[in-house]
Amino acid sequence: MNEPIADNRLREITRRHFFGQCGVGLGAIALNALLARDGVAGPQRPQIDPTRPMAPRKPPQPARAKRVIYLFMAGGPSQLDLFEDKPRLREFHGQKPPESLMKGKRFAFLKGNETLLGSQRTFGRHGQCGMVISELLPHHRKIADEVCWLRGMATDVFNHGPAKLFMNTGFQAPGRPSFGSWVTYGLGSESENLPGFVVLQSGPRGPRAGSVLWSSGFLPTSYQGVPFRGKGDPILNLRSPEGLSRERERDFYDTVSALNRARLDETGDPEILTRVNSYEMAFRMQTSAPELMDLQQESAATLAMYGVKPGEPGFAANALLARRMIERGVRFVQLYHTDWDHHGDKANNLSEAIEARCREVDQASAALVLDLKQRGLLEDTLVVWGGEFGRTPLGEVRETVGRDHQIDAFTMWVAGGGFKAGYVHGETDELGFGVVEGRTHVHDLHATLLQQLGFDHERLTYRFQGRAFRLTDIHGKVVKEVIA
Amino acid sequence: MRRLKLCVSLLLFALLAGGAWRSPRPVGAVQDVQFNRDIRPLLSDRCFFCHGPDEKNRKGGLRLDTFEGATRDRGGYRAIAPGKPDESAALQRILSHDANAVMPPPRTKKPPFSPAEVELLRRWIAQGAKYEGHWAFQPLATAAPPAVKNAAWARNEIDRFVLARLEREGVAPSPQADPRTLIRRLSLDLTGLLPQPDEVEAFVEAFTRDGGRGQETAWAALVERLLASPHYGERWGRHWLDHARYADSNGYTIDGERVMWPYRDWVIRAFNDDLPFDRFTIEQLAGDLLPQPTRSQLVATGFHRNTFINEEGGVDREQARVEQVMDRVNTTGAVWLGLTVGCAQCHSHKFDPISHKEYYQLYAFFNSTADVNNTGPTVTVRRGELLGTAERDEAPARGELRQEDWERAEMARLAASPTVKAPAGRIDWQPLDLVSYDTEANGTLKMLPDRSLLITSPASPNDSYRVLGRFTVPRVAAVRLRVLPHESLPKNGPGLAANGNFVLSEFICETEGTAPRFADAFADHEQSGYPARAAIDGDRRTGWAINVSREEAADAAGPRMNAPHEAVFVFGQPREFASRNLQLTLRHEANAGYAVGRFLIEVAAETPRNERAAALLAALRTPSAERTPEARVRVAAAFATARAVREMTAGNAVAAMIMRDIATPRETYVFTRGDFTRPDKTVGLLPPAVPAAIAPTLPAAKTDRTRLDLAKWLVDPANPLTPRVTMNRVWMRYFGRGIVETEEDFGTQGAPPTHPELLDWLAGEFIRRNWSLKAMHRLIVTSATYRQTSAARKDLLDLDPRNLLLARQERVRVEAEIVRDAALSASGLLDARIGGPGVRPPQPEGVYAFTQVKKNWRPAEGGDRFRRALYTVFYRSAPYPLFTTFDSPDFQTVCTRRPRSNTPLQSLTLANDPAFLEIAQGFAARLVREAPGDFAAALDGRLRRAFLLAYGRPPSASEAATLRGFVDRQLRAFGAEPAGAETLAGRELPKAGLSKPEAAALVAAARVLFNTDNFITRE
Repeated sequence: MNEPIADNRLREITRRHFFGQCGVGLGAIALNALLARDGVAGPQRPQIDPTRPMAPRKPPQPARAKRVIYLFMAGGPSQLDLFEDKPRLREFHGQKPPESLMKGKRFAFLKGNETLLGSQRTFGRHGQCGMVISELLPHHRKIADEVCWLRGMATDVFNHGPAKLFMNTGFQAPGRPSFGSWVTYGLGSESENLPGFVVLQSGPRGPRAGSVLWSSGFLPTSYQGVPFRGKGDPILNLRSPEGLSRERERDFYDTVSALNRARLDETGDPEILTRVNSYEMAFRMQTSAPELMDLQQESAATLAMYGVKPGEPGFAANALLARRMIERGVRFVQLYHTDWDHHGDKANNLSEAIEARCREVDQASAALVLDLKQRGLLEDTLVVWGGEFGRTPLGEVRETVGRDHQIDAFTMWVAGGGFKAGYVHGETDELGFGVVEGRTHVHDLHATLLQQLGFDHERLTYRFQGRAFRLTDIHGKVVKEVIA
Repeated sequence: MRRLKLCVSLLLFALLAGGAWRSPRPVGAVQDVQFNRDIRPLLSDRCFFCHGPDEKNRKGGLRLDTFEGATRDRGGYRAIAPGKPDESAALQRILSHDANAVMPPPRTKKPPFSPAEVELLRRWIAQGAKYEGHWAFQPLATAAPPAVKNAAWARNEIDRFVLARLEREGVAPSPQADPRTLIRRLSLDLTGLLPQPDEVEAFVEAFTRDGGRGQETAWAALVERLLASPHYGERWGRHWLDHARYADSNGYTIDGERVMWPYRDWVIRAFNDDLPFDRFTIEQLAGDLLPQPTRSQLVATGFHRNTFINEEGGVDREQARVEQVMDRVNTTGAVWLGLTVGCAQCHSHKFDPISHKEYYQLYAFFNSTADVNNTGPTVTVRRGELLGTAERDEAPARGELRQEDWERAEMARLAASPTVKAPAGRIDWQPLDLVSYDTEANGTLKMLPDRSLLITSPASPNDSYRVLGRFTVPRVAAVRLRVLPHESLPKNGPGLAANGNFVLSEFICETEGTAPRFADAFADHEQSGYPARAAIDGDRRTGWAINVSREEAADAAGPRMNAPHEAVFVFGQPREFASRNLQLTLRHEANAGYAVGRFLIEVAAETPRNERAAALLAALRTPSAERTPEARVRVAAAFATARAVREMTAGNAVAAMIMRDIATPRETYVFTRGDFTRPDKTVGLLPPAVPAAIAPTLPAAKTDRTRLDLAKWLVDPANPLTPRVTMNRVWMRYFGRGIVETEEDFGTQGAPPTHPELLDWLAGEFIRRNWSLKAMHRLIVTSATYRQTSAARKDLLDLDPRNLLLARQERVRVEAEIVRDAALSASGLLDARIGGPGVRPPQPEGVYAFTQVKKNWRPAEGGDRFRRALYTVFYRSAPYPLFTTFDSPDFQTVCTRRPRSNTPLQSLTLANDPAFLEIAQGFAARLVREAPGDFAAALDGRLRRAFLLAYGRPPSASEAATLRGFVDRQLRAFGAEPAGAETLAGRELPKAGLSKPEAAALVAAARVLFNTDNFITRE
């Protein structure tokens, strides 16, 4: 009874074992494959080898993009001081807003006595597309014709934590998988040496809501985001105990593996094989992760292009790391840069604070797009830039001047991955309260991004607690106008 | 393409093999179509979304989930015509080739019916289209355990159910596991700890005595011993804490710490006492509504106080409250009913008979609770009280503080204080030049012309202020905090409490990456029991406050509360800080809403003298009989304050969060699409009520139903869901999978039970045995089914690869907490004390790189460093990394089943986490202790011992050779190249006479065993 069972035989059993675990019968899975071949609709559930849950998978539909870099501007940048020139807002500066515009609106902090706030910034039109960009983002001028500008973004929630969850998971309460988890669940990862979904962070503090932003929710934890730190060891516990050489560690890993294989022979449990593979990848990550973090390998020109200062962690270094990660096969990289919450406190204002934030991200954001382009990576990489919401046309006067959270109209941009380059989508009213044309809801953005990655957002589902869940919940429409 | 081919062949394989094992059915019984087994899953998947219970979205007025709806005359035709498949419009539409007519419509993206499925439908209609109610809502079946051929194998009723099924399939059960596997399995399952070698050997001896005739007695004795262990309550209590979404913090962004551990103590005690599950339910859901509830019953209601509190600025309190109430409804539904009632939050349930309105009737039970996004009602309990150990544990600490002892200690303290030693003289206080200031919860601090800071929009009731400033003095001897009145504050302040008071729980100084501690503190005025020193004692429960006593108020020259005051914080010696920067944090965690309102911070290069302390010292030095009346008053006041502070801390009284209802119930309406701003008053005011589809209903004609009625309904013996759901989850813990695999969904979309009769028998038995969980554990673990080996069997690979038939046991990787507990118990380092506040074991650096608010995590020393993992403080925004890595949920919502992943991050954690290395060192030290002798001579014995400790069994010859070879190579390598030997060896082992390479090699061996699959798997 204890004859060893061949590895590939075990693999097959495990695969089937897993199919069952999804609550989907084997027949159903195979049926889906048949249906997919025949072009008939059915859920798009990836077929996952449980011994290698991150193995790369082909998307079910033709795809324009293979990977994602998401630059998350945490706190909600003011589109009215960066991307939206509103002469009428300046004209009515200091006046009460029209009653009709305020009806039914809810804000986080506004008390009702606020007045309209015209931007102090000067704006210019840039590129063939004539996108409006303020003086705060001089480097963005260079990518005016490289990215697709979404000026009609809208979301549902106005508090930071819930709004960030909404932007990441399509739902405002914690518990659902994040975008990056859905993508790695669907596509796996090209990297055998690094996690498939990596999170980087810069700015003075962590993003609100924390780890739920990159949680895999009810998806298997293999798909949760792995936070990399920008300095030192990127992953907790990556480093072997001090002083243990690579050879010594190889011996350790081999011994663990030998004992695990002995147990596999004894019990025939394929789960042990998965563990053997996990240890092998852990061992590889010990060298691949530090190699990844070593920015000395980059040329001086590249470092200068991003504005990376040697040894200094921050957004610029993270942007460059993001490029290095996707070069190494990482599927989804998300960068958080915090403190865009410019209400008008001493430290959070539309003067020094927003200038500082812009200086921190402007150059590297543009450099990332241009660098990917020159390396031929932009065409199948999606680069997303934006916050969880925008900011109000109304001023909020605390100690300095700022703006409150605005959910009805704000700006984001997407580059690469089949999005139109140098295209401005969406327009807001003359005061910037709402979208008059080309409204793109968060669910619509998710639907469109998923389509570019080769998925129908209505069919990429996961069954949990009796329901087939999806990133877009029961909403979302692909925005055809932005696709090249 | 290759993958596609594979799938196609898999499909063929599946069809040939008689379909997936998803819903095992008797072979050869395909003639008889059963609605629940064969038809409902098909209709539920493809049809009920549009033709189901949700009346709002029903298409064409057609309902297919009831016989009446499906067979209703629709003007000359019927969707389902019983007995007449060819006249059934539904079947015609399913078979239609017209894209506009075919069902399900292609735009729904639901898969079409396969020919085999159509055939099933046809046969079902031909046989009369009989409907059955959904199995889970039916009363418990009372089938007697079936007869079996191999009656000798069956040890109790459970086995007869399992074996009958196996015999039908022609499969033999697996043999009993060997006694070593059995004791390790049972110890992990019942207590979460590894058995100790002497326990293993004693059990093996008893089990094998007289050629195995002692087996049953030995097993029964072991079961009883482990069920009686206090660690049983920790193990099964931890499972329950998942249901309760237990955590030690408030959640969301700020994620401040909260006092929830008394509830954890209550849970542990309840399991250890085997509190009947009906009482257990009632006390947690409605303990506050019982007549004259005990403190324990009140603490039990902490179950539903595990909801979030959003401390972020600008939060809509009503919205937050509504979300918390909804979470209580959804959690109750998931835990007791196994239903996804949350689906009905926005619309009627698409698949299960819970209407939109019924959801809000459930909501009404919880809608009148008193907490509103805050700490809310609490009850004061003492440490150990809930475990019944208060007397014993607290005996030394709880004795009255004796005045002589205090006087002696206070004299020594004062004599050493820099504020008493300092000479009198004017101090040149320099205001800090402010660089930045903010609050943790995003409140607003405003700088006034005099450079003082005023809080203008407090964001959270326990907000902290952070001030970073530069100073010009050459060194810093003291920091002065001046609190100042302002017209915008209640009663002019200087605090935010309604009377102008505040409680400053901690005043923390940080600079240059360190937190220099203050040696002493004093104030111009201190409320009795709230001295300035309490703001530097590291205890959040105590602090500095400024209320005045009646006597002080009556004294025309006495202190006033609503006036400027100042506290001075003094370093042991003047400090020089090259950066000339200080960051000061004002924490207000003792009391909600008691923050400072306006303040100014200054520094001085000279140590100020505390005249009152000097006077107190002089008074204390005078024998009590000789003291002046003034000195006597001074001593008495200081002693009273010392006693009060001690009461707050050493007295171990904490405020446990509990449920209470407000006097006048809130009105409940349906929220349109779940949006709390859109109550639908057309449906009318909703009284609390339970879903009608689940028998039984609540007592009729009672209008003022409460949570108590709901709780009683849940455990009414006529309610089939609670016992089924509960027993299914107990089963899941023992076999890795429930009898209903989708243990969280007993609705129509869930998986059907693999052994329905067994589930119902267990559920019935649970009630018959007075809801005793221990009785049910005893039944399950004494069954032959439980005691089988878990090894894979070639004959089952094709027949039952997922082990649904239970022809063997299952290997299950232990939960995150047990990974740590197993290592601790194997190493002998475990501090086995039960209950109490959370502890902070060492964790890797950098855990808070990604949270908005950094947490205080000073690793514990002594016993608290090695407590069981369930006592580790759990911050929702930044859980202890080991937990997340091994699939512990983050307790944002209820969790009834954890996933079991297997990732490289787990490998890195076990291999490199310094906490595990420390435990491995303890493990190696234990080997040396228990197998003494010369290193070379004792080595094989020690390694053998290591296997016994880790696996409860000796190594096989090849395992022994593998580990021995490793140790020999490590020993040589460490001898030749000592780098690393130091790290692995640690400090203790070399003291025991081992050379560094020897110690390192032994620790390396321990590290290997901790990293094997066997170690973290219950086999």
